[in-house]
Amino acid sequence: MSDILMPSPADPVTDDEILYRALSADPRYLAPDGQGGFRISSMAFNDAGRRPSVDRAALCPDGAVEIQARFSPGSGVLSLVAREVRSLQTVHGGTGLVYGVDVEPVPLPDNPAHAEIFGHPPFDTDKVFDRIKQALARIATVVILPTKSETDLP
Amino acid sequence: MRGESVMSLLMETTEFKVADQKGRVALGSKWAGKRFAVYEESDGKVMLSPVLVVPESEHPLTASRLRESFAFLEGLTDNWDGRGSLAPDPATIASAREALGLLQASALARGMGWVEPHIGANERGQITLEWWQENRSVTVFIRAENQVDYLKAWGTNIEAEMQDGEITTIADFIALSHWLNPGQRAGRAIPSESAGEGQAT
Repeated sequence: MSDILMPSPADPVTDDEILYRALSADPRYLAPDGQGGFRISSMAFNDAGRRPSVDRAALCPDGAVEIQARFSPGSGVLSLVAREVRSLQTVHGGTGLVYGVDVEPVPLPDNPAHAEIFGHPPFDTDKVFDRIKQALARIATVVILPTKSETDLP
Repeated sequence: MRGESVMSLLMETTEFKVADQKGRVALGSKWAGKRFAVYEESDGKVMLSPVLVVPESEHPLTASRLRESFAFLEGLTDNWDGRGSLAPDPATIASAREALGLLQASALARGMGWVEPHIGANERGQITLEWWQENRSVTVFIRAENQVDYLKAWGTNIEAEMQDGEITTIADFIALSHWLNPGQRAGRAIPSESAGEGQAT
């Protein structure tokens, strides 16, 4: 029996929580760094609603493989720490508006671990979101490498 | 960056020169050693245009190679990543091909090394070209046919360690290349084999 208390899906995300980000089965999210490691492309955090989805590790008893299984065959998984995500902020060059970055639980019927990274105020320009994605790519680490799936790729 | 605007990067000034009796034209020392294409039109007009000569044997720059580099983007459909991202449209892909060819040619013509960028797309269907060198990164965004800009980063501090701007001339890109590889000078090309994929010029 584990002594670790699992949070409720609606509980706020604590600073110490690990967050998983799934990548579809496409090796192009990562580029070899020439030293045996990988660079994470900022496109790993693409999101049409500018609220990148993550999964809370505390609510994934089977860990990152659970994320991989849920997303798609051959998908990859990145991890981030909530505290580091919240340490990011940016200022809109034109308006001087300060954008904070946060993560909140958004549990789904089929995925209670689901959460979203968002801006307050919302990231409303491409350039602001580009910077956020660049920073997220830099603080993320690779947990599971995506593999090429011939059925998923053109 | 449409076709005509891309070409205009090579022809930023217009001056009138007179040829002597032997057909020689003095352009001034700033053009010394440069190569030019001479276009003679049917109405007698003659145009002199600077051209970039690419050492193709070392770094093949061909239409087919450029098409190949972007081929995977042409096959994408909306929601290609399961995150709702739009597929790049053909005009944006064509602009990206054109921009990449021009950037490579300009780098090689200056004797700089060239490493292929990491080509991708964002949620808006805009095309990204990414290079990394140690802690530095440059991302070039082809947002539309006539809109190309960049984000350079050297840390996670979004204010203090990132900077963005537009790319309107080749000189803008060359400056980014020098920033990414501060030790690199013209004539000292870095072999791409040692630089590794995903690193930049």
